Amino acid sequence: MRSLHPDTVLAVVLLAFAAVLLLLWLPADTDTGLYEIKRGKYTIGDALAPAFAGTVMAIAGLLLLFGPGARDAPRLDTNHVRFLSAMIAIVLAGMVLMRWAGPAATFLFADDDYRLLRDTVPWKYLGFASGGFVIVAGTSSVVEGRFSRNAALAGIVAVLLIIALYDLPFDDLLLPPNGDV
Amino acid sequence: MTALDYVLAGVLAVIHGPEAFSLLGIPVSVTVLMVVAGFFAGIVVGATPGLGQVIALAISLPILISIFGFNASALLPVMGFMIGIMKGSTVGGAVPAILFNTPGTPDSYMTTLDGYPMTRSGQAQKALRVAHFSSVSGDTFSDICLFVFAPSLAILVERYLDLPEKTALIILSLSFIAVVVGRSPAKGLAAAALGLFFVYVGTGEDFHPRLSLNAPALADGIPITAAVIGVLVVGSILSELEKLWREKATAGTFTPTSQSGDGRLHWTDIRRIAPYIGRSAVIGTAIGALPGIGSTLAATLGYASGGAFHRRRKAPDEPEFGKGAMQGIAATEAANSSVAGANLIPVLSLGIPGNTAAVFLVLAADTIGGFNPGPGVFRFTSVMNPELVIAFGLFTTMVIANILNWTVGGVFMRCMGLMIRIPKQFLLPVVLLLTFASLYVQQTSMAMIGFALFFGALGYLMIKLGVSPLPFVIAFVLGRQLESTARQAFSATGGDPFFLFSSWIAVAFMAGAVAIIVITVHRRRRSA
Repeated sequence: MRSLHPDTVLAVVLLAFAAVLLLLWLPADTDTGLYEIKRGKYTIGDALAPAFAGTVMAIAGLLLLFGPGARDAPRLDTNHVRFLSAMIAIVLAGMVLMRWAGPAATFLFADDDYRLLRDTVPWKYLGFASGGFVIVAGTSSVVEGRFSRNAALAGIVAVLLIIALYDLPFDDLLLPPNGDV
Repeated sequence: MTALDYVLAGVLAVIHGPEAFSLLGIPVSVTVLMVVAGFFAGIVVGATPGLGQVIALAISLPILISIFGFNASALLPVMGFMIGIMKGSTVGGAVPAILFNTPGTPDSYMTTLDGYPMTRSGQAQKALRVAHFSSVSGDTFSDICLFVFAPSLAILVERYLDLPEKTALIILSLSFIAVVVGRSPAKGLAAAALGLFFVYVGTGEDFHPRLSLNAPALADGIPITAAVIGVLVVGSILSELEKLWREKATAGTFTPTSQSGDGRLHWTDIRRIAPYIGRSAVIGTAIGALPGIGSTLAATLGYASGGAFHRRRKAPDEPEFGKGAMQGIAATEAANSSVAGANLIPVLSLGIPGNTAAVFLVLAADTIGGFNPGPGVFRFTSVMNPELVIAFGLFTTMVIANILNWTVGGVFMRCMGLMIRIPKQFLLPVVLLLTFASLYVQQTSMAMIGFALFFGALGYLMIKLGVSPLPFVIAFVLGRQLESTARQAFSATGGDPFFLFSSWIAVAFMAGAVAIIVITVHRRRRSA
């Protein structure tokens, strides 16, 4: 079976998104229409600007669909998807660690709640250090195709560097997750 | 007071302000010290991929205000530091763009197009020197224009650009960037439409946050820094990491780029890039003087104009624009740097910032008090107008930053270039974490990292599909301003649905917006 031109696929996605936005999402999720009358005066409603965005998107889709397709138009392959999925998974794992490593450690090993200890060393660094290490060492390892000592070193250096940059000189700046808990 | 008295008073306010310390018996004022500190800090943040002036300004503003307080004497030191950051980071911003293909700001996106190919062909040092020379030349030209023409230009801009014209001008800028950047006008339009769509999520004037799907995370809208940094920086980092991943998978090892040549900027090089710098400096200064448009459009216009000039003039052995032409770097850097000076005209006379960094100047003036950007600033009165003195004081801080740029800026900038020796497979993940941490410290919410990851993935997909992320970013930055100006223009014209055609200037802008799309699509169709 002959595969579709990548620009055609992109055009169909854009047109479908524009149609959903203009016909379903916008009417259901805005309070006012394209314009409204307030105290006897016409004013622009909340739907006009997104409707403009949707219309431009539809025009772009039509131009892509009926315009000349470039012979060397770049297309996505399975490797792109695999790589992106791996990166997202690593960052999400790092985010989960950032958010919960500190509270989990205080729950297990400290007498106080994390909220009370979030300005105290070492508790305040646990989440950022563990999550940051996973993000740096994890992404380096994916690129290298193996876990290496240098990847681990990069993770440790990155965490220390950022703590030195933001946390040590400034009392008001908070590293993740200390502003959320 | 005459105009010259005002200039002198502004210069003296900076030089003879409160003394910080004395150097060989010469007193150094706090303002001068702050400009110097801001300038070097600016180069460092600009050169550090993932940081950039917006984050630096966002972090430094509250710190500066807590140091200097809320009185009029704090204005020059605080704003001087911010101007130092703006100038330093504009020069430093070329470093990650050239060395790592990761633009720190939207302005330096076009620098990547020729800078990174030069790095890959072993000419990183030369590319950095071209960027520095062009940037400082453009900046100096713009500052001279600012000093000489600011008051009269401010009056002109105020007289001819009313709300309908400003709305039409934003639409023209969007359509220009959408169709000129990248190889496909349709994809550029799609990127701009996506940027507009995302910026309108959760915003609006109604009680119900539009398009938010009742999700609390979307109810306040998508943070601008998370979206812009996500698409530009995180997307570029992911794209670069993927290239390394494929390289390792196919070749079994990473191919290091060896640097060749003396890396110096010779007189013959300067002669080759001078016409591009001159062209772009004029474009950047003209664009900078217009309200709400900004440096990214200037960089794009400068690059497009330089590209057309290069096609006619280039020698057969010279690379084309986008393939490692140093003229491409010169055109972009001169244009985006020359906006900085002229950009103060709409910022000071109308309170409309031309780029995100200028927003912080308005914010600083607003927070500290004693200086209200608006039509009153450029009023030459016989009784002293203190706001005009501050305006000329700000111009003086720009000149000081410029002198630093000419003398030590290049050396300091190239020192930052040593980062190229760190293997990219380790450096880029560190930059990724630094980007996430920098976003977090601004709003202290894990949602910022989540947004940056989402927009980073979107930026990655856009790059892989051949869609330039720049129209997305510009549409996101200008989207809210477009809507609010349109709302005001609609009200001001008494609900006239044809307000965009209410004057010949607005009609010309709108016609230009449509014409540029039609002409570009037609040309691409003929060349396909």
